[in-house]
Amino acid sequence: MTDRDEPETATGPLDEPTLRLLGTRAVENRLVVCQTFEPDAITPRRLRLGLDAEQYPAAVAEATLDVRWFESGDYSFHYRECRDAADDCQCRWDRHPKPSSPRAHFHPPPTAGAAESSPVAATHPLAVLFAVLDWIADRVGTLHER
Amino acid sequence: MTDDTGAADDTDAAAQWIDARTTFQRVYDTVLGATDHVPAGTVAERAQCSETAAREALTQLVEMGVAERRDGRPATYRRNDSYLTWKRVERLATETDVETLRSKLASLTETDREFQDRFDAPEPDAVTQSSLPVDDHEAVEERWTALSEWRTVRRDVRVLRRAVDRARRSPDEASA
Repeated sequence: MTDRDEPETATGPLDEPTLRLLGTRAVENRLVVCQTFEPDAITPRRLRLGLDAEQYPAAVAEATLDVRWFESGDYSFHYRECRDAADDCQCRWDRHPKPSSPRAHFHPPPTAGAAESSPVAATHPLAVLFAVLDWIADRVGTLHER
Repeated sequence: MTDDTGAADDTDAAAQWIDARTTFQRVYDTVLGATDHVPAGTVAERAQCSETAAREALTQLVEMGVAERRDGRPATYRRNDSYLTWKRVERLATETDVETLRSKLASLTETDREFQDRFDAPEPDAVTQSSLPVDDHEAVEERWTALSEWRTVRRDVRVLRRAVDRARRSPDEASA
């Protein structure tokens, strides 16, 4: 992989073919139940992956992963757990130019707070998707142990 | 062991992908995500197959127009963006009625004009970095995000223009 970390490289347009690839491969994962383009499939701005709520403890009503991928290799994976009786939990894996942080960074749960260094080193879209899905699978396991 | 019901519960996402897709399909998936030229060895590593198998699949994908090859030592491969754009145009022209495409195009053209006014520039790449505020990180980030959105809008305008032309030329094929 060539170095995509030149500081002056701007974020490109949304990468529609890559979003399609990520959507079709993601629904084959056992955590993912559906994929939709938002606001629509004609001019998509994000891919929404619906996660299988049945695999979560009952307190979690809904879980989603919103994905954006750009031609510059930048991305955003936004994970959200919605609860009926408590605040939502969310976090985000981002890669985009950020004045105060490394290009690839992580906004940790429960509030997708201040950026910290990213646990994801991969650059290929599928490898990043798989790393995020593995993190979510671990998270589901942890929620059951609580 | 009851493996016939699918992969075990503890297999990670990459393992599930390897289970679900053939070698050729994994090379196809890998090349679709390759916007930069990479050698067959890198594709093989990502697709979890031998380099020979990767090279064979890549040769076929180049013939199909999905991938493009650049000669060199070693030769390198990436996805063929003109093929993928063509595919998107075809999909839009055949799955969406032309009036919907036209009204989308009109609203995107309007958004493009708004960006031109906001940045006082004809296109996103003409916006100079020096015009960015240096001390306000949030403002810098917000502008970078806006410029990326502007690039997406301009891309969509080009694709939708082609889709409208395509739908107009063959109205019977391109019905909603």
